[in-house]
Amino acid sequence: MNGPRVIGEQLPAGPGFSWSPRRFLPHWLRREPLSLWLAAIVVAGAAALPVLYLAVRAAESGDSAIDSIFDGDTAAILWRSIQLIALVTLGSVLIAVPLAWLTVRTDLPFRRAWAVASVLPLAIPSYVGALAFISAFGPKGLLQGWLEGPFGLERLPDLYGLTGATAVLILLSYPYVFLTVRATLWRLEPEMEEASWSLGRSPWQTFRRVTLPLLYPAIGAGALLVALYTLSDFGAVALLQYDTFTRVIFNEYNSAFNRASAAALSLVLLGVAVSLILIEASARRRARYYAGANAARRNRRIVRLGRWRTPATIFSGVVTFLALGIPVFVLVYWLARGVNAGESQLFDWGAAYNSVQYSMAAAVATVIAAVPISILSVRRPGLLSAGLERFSYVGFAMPGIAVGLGLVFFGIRYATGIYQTVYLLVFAYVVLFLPVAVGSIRSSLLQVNPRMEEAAMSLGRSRINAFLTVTVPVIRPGLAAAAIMVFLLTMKELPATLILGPIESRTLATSIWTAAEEAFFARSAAPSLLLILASAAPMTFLVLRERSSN
Amino acid sequence: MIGLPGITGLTGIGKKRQESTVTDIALRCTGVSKTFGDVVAVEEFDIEVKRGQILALVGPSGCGKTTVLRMVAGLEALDTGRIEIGGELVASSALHTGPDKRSVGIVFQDYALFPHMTVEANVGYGLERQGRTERVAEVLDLVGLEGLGKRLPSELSGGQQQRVALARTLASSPDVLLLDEPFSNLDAGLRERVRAEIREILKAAGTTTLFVTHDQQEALFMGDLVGVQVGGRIEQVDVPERVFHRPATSVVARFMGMADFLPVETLGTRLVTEAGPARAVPGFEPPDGVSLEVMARPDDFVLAPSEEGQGVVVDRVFQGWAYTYEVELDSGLHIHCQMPHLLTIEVGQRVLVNLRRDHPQMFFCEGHAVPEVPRYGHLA
Repeated sequence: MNGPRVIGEQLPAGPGFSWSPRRFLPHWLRREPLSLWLAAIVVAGAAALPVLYLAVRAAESGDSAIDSIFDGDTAAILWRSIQLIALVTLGSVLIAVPLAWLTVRTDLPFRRAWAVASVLPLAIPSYVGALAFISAFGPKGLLQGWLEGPFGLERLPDLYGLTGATAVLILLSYPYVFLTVRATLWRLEPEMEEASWSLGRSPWQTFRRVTLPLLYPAIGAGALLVALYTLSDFGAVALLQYDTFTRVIFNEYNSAFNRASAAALSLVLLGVAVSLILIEASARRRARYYAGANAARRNRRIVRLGRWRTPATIFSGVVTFLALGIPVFVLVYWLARGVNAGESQLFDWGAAYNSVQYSMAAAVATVIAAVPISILSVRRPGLLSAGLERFSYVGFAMPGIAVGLGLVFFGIRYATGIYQTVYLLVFAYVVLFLPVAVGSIRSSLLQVNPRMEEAAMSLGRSRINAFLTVTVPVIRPGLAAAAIMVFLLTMKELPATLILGPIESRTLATSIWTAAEEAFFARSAAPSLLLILASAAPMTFLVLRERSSN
Repeated sequence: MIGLPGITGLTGIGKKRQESTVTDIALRCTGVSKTFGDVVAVEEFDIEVKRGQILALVGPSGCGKTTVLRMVAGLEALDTGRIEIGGELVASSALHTGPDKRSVGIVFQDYALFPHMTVEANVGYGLERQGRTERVAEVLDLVGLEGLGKRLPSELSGGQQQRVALARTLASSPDVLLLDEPFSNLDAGLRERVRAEIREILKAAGTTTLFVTHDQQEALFMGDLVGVQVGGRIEQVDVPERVFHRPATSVVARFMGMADFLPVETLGTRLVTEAGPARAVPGFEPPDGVSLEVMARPDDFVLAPSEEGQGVVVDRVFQGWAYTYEVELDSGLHIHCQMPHLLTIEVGQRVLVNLRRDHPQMFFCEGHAVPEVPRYGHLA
């Protein structure tokens, strides 16, 4: 491609102008290097591995697995899980939609502060949240202690079971709906509402008939995230003793050593997760015409709350107090008590070191694994790349406990060398968090005009060189965001770490878990606060950046 | 360019004016101003649109014409001035009637169709339940979309979406219809056809329309009246022919089409320019002691290659049916001349330039027409 060239006489763009073996590949494969396709296929295959081995393990045990799927217990677990999912999803929507609307479209005081505070509960791992609520409202908890003296109160309403699990999971997962609805509210064209007003409809009619229907897809997407979060949650349901799939599977595996039953239940759990995704996808297909909202250009009208200002502020305050205030307050309280009592094991430095090490390894490995699939799905949309992308989404549907179990079976059978080492654990993290990384890298790649790379190539750069010098610098923020998110998710991950972690090597998550199980609240306070802070800092940054770009 | 065709239009307007009563005015803006922070978007804006008339408001982007539209719709509050719709005051510095309380319909640049509703639901959105179905059918018929009522907006072409947006607004028979750059999202071929269709629909419905565009050709085609807005102010409102041929200011002249201005010297009754003598309307008395300029459109010049000429061709643009030449006169002034493609003059050739003498030209002094052309010619 060197040598003088005359304008208007450039080499033909696109495929086929170089003599390489790729010439003999089908047209749609030829555009990108074969190695990229191979890498993407390997990654997608690896992501599918845990499911495969769950199925293999369940099939091997034959009747006993089928029995455990169809016995009455499974139906009961399923019913309990569905109840919890329905209640948590509904509660999250009811909290998040008004909060999102208030913080985007009204003159609510301290809108920006509420927006940040409403996202931060995402930084609280579910087991930490549950732990905080148990130590605050549970038997022998803070509240009871305070009420016992002056009022002689001996019992509080029971926190364990469905009530507690629902409350804690709503408060920890409503931000998913909040974020998707908020993003859509920013993007909605103000003309939609203006058209409705100028057609004689009042602001309330406009909200009900135009704004709200346009928010349905966002609510659906957020609700799916909440439902999957609830379904795959292990920490909160385990600590609050509500028997959903994850808790039963863990107990079957851990205490009863019933591996066949654990594998079979994991497959059912996976089936439920896939059904949730399909339900949302079919709802979205019917709603596909909602898409196409342009970025808003003008300042939108701010709704004056008037006499609703005080109730709205109180509402935002109560949500923030429950979801953020109580956990942080309780943890700080226990930490202070631990310090005063001269507790010796306030912070487990070894566990922190392990956590950081594993998480960094997971972040790097996941981002590298995500790049080929992201490129192909953006640049070569087609059946194969879409299929590969789907496979990479296994981790999205698969609860950590199922991925962990699948890899246990795989490790015991075929990879004893890496079983119970950090390698298999990092592999589990890659499978679990690949979708997060692909999502982030994909969206930054979508903003890169492919013509830029073509321009670089027409200026004499090779394809790889063009990618490294033009595309990578542009998508660097996307890569960094992917790495940071995977890092933070790994820090918090509990079930896969419990199952696959090297024996005798604690992480922050597992040490909090152990302390919580044994009700050593003071011992779990410091690592919990550290985890929350580590996740909260970048999240605050992301929310503030979203604000300033709007 | 023969004579001043605008004159006939003027007499017609004048006759109507005599018959008009106060309620004949569908939209009146008086002294409307609006600033955003330090930016003056609209300043002392005055217009009057009669029932059934189409006023095309044209101006360069950023001249505040969309702001005018939004203030009329009630989507933006004004700072000072008054807006009356159908004789009723809807906005002043003390009063702001909400958009849902004004009998105004607005068609947005990107249509703002509700994507989750069918065409019928969109069109019926602003109607009462009583008689909605019939009215929707009637309006869809008017815009030529009968049979497409069950479709979703995303299943329609750009031109069809445009007509749905129009139908949705026309359905509730607003006193005033506002169109914001409605053709800018259509490709060139479609645009000409759609705008002819829309003009026909508006005329058939007898709807008073305020139409905003940055495209001069579109304004001249669509408007019964054309208003030229520059820098937040109305420069001139008049029938299209007069705005083009008898601009009140040199700003209007330049905006409505390519125009050069040549200094004029008065020698007794003769008006002489560097491109030969200029011709004024009979009875024209040049004012004393001021610098006078004559406006010339590219087709107002005649070029001939000649070594004795007073200019040199410095550029030539081929336009198919004609060439436009840029000529540097000896004084250093650049002018633009359009000549039929049969004659080809090379760049660098000396040419003789003369003003055409078959029609009178417009004269300007310090940017204003001499003799004065009224800013609101249609009211004169």
